[in-house]
Amino acid sequence: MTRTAKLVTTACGVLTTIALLAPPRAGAFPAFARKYGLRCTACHESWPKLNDFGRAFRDNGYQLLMGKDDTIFETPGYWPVSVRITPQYTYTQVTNQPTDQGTKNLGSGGVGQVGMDLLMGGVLFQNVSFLVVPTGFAPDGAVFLESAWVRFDNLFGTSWANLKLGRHEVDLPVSAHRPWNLTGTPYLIYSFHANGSASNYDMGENQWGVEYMGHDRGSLNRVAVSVFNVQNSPGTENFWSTPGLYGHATHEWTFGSGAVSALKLGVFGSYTTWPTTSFTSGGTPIPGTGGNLYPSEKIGGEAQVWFGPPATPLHLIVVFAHGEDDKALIPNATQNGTFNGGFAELGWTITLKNLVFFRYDLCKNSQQGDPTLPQDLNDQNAITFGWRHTFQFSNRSEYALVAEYSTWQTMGMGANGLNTRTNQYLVGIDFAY
Amino acid sequence: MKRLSIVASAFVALALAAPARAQGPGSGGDPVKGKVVYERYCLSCHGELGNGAGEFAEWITTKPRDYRQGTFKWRSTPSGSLPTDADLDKTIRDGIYGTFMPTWYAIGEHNRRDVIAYIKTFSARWKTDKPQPSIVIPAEPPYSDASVKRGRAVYEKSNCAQCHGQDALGDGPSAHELKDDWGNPIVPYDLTQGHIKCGDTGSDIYRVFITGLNGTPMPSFTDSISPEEAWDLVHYIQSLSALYPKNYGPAAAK
Ligand code: HEC
Ligand code: HEC
Repeated sequence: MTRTAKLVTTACGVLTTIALLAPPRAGAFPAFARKYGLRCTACHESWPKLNDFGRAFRDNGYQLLMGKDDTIFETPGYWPVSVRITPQYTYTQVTNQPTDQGTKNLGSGGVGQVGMDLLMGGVLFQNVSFLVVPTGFAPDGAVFLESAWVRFDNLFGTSWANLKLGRHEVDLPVSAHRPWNLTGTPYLIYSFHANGSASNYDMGENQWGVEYMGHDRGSLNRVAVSVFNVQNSPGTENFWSTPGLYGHATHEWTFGSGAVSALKLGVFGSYTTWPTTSFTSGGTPIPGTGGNLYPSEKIGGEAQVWFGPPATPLHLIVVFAHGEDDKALIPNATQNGTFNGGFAELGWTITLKNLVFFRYDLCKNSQQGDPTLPQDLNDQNAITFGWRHTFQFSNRSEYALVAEYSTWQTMGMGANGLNTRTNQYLVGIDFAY
Repeated sequence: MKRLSIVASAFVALALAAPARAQGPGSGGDPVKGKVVYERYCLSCHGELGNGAGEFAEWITTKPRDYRQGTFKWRSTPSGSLPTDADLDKTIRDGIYGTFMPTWYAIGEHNRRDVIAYIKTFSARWKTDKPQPSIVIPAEPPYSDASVKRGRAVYEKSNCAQCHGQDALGDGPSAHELKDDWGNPIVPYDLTQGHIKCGDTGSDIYRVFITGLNGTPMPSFTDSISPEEAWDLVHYIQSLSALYPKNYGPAAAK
């Protein structure tokens, strides 16, 4: 393939992915609301983002621990299943794409293929919780599971011992599955790597592995560590053939009165590997034969502040990280590639039914693995803002109007080394039952 | 990292420097903000009108509290009195075990204070009446077999078995004909389960039968049970299940 052909394919790929695939999300789970008689607002600051009560509920293994959690207390008609669907209109434009007719801006719009999340989760028995999220069926009927885990909660009678087994989202500072935005811009830092790195590890992607998690009452202090096999690694399918490790710890202060109602600080980090060799068959890596693993690392911090009345807060989130990819992962590299990045997000729950949010993402290479490349090649930044207006909610269901704009810029990756920009406009209805 | 810690300390300072409007736990809240807290967390059960008839109430058996009478079960105040703000804060913070009333520990003190101020707007009683002073609970003597035995005698003497049954299983002769003030059937608690509804500590159990549970047939025994007898009775109840925390020695007695 020529460089141009490659770029066109990539551009088309990017366009289709962005336009058709909403970011992976699990988000809202009205089955819990039905079981416990609580409105969505009890657990979500503004859905799908959790508030302190929702976080404590999740950390307790989807339990309120008031003697009503076990399935035997549920009405027989209860099913632990929720559905979330988001019919929407999205218009996407990508600038500086190489075409046979020269460098062009490409746009496409339409009623996006409506993604559907089918969420099944809850408790099997007291202190045994689970989540299963199928996201598709293969032609042979096999199910693709985005999440599939079981968690043993409060082992030895302490909230400091919980063990999750299966495919799970690692304990991110801000869940990649519960963004306020529906446009295709993810939290960039989660998937960002030094320019050219072969590693595809994405912190926001669910991983097959084991998570230890511990927390105190109300989850003001929390710690989580996941050990997993890096998802989508080529040439390796055995469980520990591409090991990864992730950890996260936070402390939250809450204040009984005053302008700041809560403050949370945390640290997180990941150490993951990626194969650089593999036996192939017709050029395709043979599963289980990957070798010569090399590491990528990220280490970062988070600060979250809630201003104003805690029931309708102005919530500021700042997450930043420093990362490094081994030079062996980067073509023509003579040194490791390093980068810095993160995001600042501001969400204001004006009323229980109205949220406006704004996010700025920034990722910058600080050292190219190949020193002959421009320092800012593949640097990225994005701005996303929007409004969610909930029409109605009860302890059973909820639906909202969403209107969003997002712009995502990548340096030097367009035609003739130009920068590219992806602009997205979205209006839609988000509903969860 | 250094810059971060400066920012962090600035926020902490800002939060702490804020005017301390608040008095004790649960006091000094703002009912206007409390209305939003109520709509966010409480309305689905306690209802828009505070009448305990929220959208979920129909489906559950211990009905959510109707706030309009100003009648509350768990108090440190004498029988018939309104509860103190601290009493309400404790109930809301810890929840009511075995019912659908969750623990609202995680929503924080600030929210609870505001919602308490709002709950009070549902009953005129809060304007015309004041909570009486809390009862004094003497220091807890150590848990011992002798005390448990004396407590059993108090249980018999006080006729607790009439409702709670000989073995405290909640199956006394009157158990099945009881109604609460709102006209709903109510059963005496099975005391052997090991968790009573509103707190398991010695003083939580003590206050239940000394102050009684307003709005229910569970009476106050303040006139017939002395403080020493009361502690013995607490120990007897605690002996019924391994799940109750016990105060075995003077070291633990606070
Ligand atoms: C899922 C249902 C549910 C929700 C939501 C709920 N409650 Fe309750 N609440 C109950 C039930 C049921 C009772 C009665 C329990 C009993 O009498 O045994 C109750 C009782 C109470 C009482 C009376 C305690 C007493 O001493 O008599 C208070 C106060 C109270 N709730 C406050 C709140 C507040 C504040 C919120 C919101 C932050 C809330 N509740 C949310 C179900 C709920
Ligand atoms: C007239 C009937 C009656 C008598 C007599 C009675 N109780 Fe009760 N008791 C009740 C009822 C009804 C409840 C349940 C209240 C509720 O669930 O709201 C209860 C609840 C309790 C509870 C649990 C409170 C909680 O927070 O869950 C304790 C402890 C208790 N009683 C102790 C006693 C003791 C000790 C005596 C004797 C000194 C006694 N009761 C006598 C009717 C009675």
